[in-house]
Amino acid sequence: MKKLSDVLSRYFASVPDFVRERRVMVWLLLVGITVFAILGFPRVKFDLSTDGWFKDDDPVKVALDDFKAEFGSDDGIYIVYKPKDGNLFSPQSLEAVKSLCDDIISARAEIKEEEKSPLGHVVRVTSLATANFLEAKDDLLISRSLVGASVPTSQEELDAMRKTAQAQKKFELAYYSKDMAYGGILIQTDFGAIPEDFEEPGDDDSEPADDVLVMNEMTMETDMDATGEKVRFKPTETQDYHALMTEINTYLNNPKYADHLEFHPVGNAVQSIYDGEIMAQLGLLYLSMVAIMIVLLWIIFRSLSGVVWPVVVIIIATIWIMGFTGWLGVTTSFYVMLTVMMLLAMGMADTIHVMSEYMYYRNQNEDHRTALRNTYRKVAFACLLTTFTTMIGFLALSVSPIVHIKVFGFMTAAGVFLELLFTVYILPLMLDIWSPVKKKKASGAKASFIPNFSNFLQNRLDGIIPIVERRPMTITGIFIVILALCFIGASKVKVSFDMMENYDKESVLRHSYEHVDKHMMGTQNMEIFLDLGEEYAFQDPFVLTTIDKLQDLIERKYSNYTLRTESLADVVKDANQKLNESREEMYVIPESQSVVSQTLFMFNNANPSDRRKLVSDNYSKSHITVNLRNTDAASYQGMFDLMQRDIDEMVAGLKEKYPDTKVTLTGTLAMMMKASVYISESTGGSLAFAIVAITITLLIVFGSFKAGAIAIIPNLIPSILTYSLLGWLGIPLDMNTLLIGPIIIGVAVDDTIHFITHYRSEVVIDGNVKRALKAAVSEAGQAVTFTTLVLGIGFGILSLATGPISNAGKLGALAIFTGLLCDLFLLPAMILLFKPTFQSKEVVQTEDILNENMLNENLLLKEEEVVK
Amino acid sequence: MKTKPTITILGLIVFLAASFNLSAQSARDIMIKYDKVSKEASFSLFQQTKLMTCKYTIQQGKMRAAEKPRVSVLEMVSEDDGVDNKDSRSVSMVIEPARDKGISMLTYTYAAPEKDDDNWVYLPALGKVKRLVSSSEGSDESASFFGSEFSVEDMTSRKIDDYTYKLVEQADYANRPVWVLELLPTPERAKKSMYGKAVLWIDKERFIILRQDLYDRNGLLFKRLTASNIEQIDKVWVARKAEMNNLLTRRVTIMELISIAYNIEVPEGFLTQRTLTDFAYREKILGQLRSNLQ
Repeated sequence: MKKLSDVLSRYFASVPDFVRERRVMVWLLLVGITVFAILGFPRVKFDLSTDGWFKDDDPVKVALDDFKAEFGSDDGIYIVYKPKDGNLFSPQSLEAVKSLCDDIISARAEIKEEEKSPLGHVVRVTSLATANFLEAKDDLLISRSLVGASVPTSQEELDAMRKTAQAQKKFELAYYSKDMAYGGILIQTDFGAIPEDFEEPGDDDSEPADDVLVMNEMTMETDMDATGEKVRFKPTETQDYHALMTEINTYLNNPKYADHLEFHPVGNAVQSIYDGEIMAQLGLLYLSMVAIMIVLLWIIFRSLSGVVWPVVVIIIATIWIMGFTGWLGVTTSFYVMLTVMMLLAMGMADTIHVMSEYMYYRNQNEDHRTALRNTYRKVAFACLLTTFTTMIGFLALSVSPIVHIKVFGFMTAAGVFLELLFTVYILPLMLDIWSPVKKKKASGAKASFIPNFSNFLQNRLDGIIPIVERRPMTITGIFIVILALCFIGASKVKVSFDMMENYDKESVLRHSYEHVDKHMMGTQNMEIFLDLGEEYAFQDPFVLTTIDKLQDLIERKYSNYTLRTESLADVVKDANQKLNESREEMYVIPESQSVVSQTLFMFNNANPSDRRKLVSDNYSKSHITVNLRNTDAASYQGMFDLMQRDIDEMVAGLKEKYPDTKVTLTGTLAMMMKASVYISESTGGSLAFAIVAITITLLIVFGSFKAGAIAIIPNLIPSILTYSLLGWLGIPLDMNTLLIGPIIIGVAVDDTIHFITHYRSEVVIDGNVKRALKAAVSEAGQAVTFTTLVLGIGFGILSLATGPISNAGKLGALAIFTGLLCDLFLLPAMILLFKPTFQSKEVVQTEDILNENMLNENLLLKEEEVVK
Repeated sequence: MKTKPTITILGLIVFLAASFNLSAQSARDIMIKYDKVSKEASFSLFQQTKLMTCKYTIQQGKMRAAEKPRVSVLEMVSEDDGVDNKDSRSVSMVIEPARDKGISMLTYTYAAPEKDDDNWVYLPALGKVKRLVSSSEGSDESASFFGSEFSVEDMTSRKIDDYTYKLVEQADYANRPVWVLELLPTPERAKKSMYGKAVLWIDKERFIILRQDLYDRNGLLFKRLTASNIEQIDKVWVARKAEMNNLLTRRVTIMELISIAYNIEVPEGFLTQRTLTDFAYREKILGQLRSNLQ
């Protein structure tokens, strides 16, 4: 290891001269690649939807794709409205709803062919006023909308209309609330339902298209080898959602409708507007973070170039990461803002080390070139090592099966690496152009503005080791107890999250969701997807009756969460009733299969697209939709487990007659439950990965098992502390809080590495552990405190964000500061107790010791300078 | 001197306008001619048709059935009716599959744009005739024709005044000279139709539509009808095979003509509700009609 560090240190020392000789090429490359990266920005894809959590081949995603392939997408906008006159059936309310729906439909119909209007995604707009239903009068079956061409004005007609609406069971909770105070408008879109390889044939119209010829050659009856290749659907971009919702909002804000109705829209498209706001808020936090970092840099370096170059390095690294993400076609999420913020905090450390070292040498009256050479010889290896451990922390997150977290881990790790690369290869050239002015002494005027923390801090730091010396056992004991408490707390952690918690509790969106949950059909759903493996099985009264019973059971047993259920059984019952003079007692599944078959024939002929949404063409696959209230994953868990048992029982019944029956669960509830499992399973894995990888690194660096163990323990506490606080405070482990553990361990260990490096260089001089500890704390303490401050602020800023990301910020900041305490108290105490050698036996050559000594001496000096 | 270019430009505009008008006029004329030829070719018919519908996938650029096709066989009797034979009456009955056998639909269509068509359906398992009324205005889909990818709208002939026409080009298609026409529904028609545009390839000599591209209201091509196996039967050019490909739902229906007879004598009163419910009467007449088939 020593040899490696020497080789690398020598190499890094040569880097400034190496790049200087090729400065034109290096600058051209940097500018060229940066421009290339910027060109990749428009390609950056955001996916903030629940589907995006899962890989394409994840069973829950496969189930969803199968579901969409069979029944189409239900990705629309649902608008709950409240008439201001309190009456859904007043002429004004009906008129407003009808004209809103009509106006959107007409606007869509008037889109010119060459126009690209977001309204083009609208497929259907239905509401009380426009939804079709089947009405039976004597021998007449009328498929019509409730209101028709014009809204009636007489009270009699309006009352009759209300009664008709109430008789439509499928209208309840979809188009009106139970208390008739709220109505619903459903805007169906084609989002997520356009096959990926769907291509609109161009003007190649002179000859028959190939597919037609092939189709003609094919004998459809005999071609049974078809594999039924899966259809993939074009994912919907957040931008598309945003554009459509912006357009719809112009309608909702129009006084023509808004004067009569109060709107509460929900759906992915609606969320995209608020997602934009959250991103903007995080952007603002980022800018304030940049401002704080600039102030901190100014305090350390008192030089404009000392502020500008670190910031430029960080920004270019961020540009590259974003641009390459775009070019690689990787889909990003909310976490991209977190990546950007982490890169700012992490990038500071490397550049500060280099800049302060460089300024130290310049202050020693070295010329620019020599100072650079010495700087890189001294710091670059340490930076490489700390960057490596930090990367491990982020890469550990890629263990997670949740795509957004995986991408965040990779992106941030790559970004941290780029920052090191720029610090080593670009920063020397930057300093060639413009370096911090050598200052003999700080001007009196400036000094008076900035209080001198340094002395104060140094006094406190110097007092630490005497305390530790007196009671190393007690201090170790205290920390061990804390660690034990952390483990106990961590064992109490519950996984949970709420789909809505990213949004401010007071936001209009949250209120809209509450309205839909409280008055209408709810904002979450589960799809029970049944494949009976036999044609026309869903025309069997036995099957429909079984489904009907299950629906009844779910609605009764889980009424706390379930608002309504819907299936083919409901359609059959409704059509049967309509075909039998609307007699109440005929709202049942007919006993004869041929009656069911012909009832469904009617339904299919009248409304093929509705039929397609419910049951496959050959009646072998269908689904039961369960609409639910939104709540957190933990609350759903118990119900979900029980409900699964009920479903399994039903399937067992069906299997007696249809042995090939298969059931899969999809929809938002199933995805939430799956994500819960992933969170609880992968969190431990990520943390274990980080701990093991970093421990191995430390073992290699410090050359002994004891040393490695002593180095890792102070870093376990901050990391496990975050989980234990979640446990003790009852904060759930979610998509955001799970990130903290591995990241913290990767970041906190940097300080330990610095501290031990200093200690090691001191202890080899005379073998005096106490003196070496004092020197290490006294000299490295300030630098370590400073970087802790930078990172603490980095995480702390996040705590100002809306939603659960704020928890991650608070816990992260707390853990970072705890890490400092562990390094200052626990690490020395353990060193006193266990006296590790931090090197491989006594075989270290004197020369090596001297080299090391010199290297570390310089590190110390540099860090002193950092604080000064 | 200055007037000359102005005159030239004006002249050009007039010329362009005239030629535009000519193309519009001739496109409409082509449709009128097409309509006339199809009307005059026969006043009544009896046919047996097979419908095969399935989902398909595209593998290596080729269409493949993704499942076992669903097959049904229909018998249809149709006769022109009303003033100048512009209206029509027809009855369609399911022969296969056994499950649906006997399901029948009686349809009266009217040339007058203001008059909605009449539909009755008979479901033997329920023993009931139901008259179907659809307030098509604002409705966004046309009913399916016996569960196939053909919609009832696809099966109904277009009314000339419901569209504006443009001759896109004259070309060769499937080795036949064709006119390619673009049809846009009038605003009134657009409300009732599920299509925002149709492009037709009409055989110049046989006056038969070889292909139709049907666009939805957003201008997205979503259905394509292709006619093939064209033969002359009873002096009428007819496609024995028509394929309706729904590009969006990836489903296709192939309609195959099993046999057909034109200009048959349809007994008075056959195209009424009695045919739907009176099994013995229907079978007796159908027996007579079947003897005309070739």
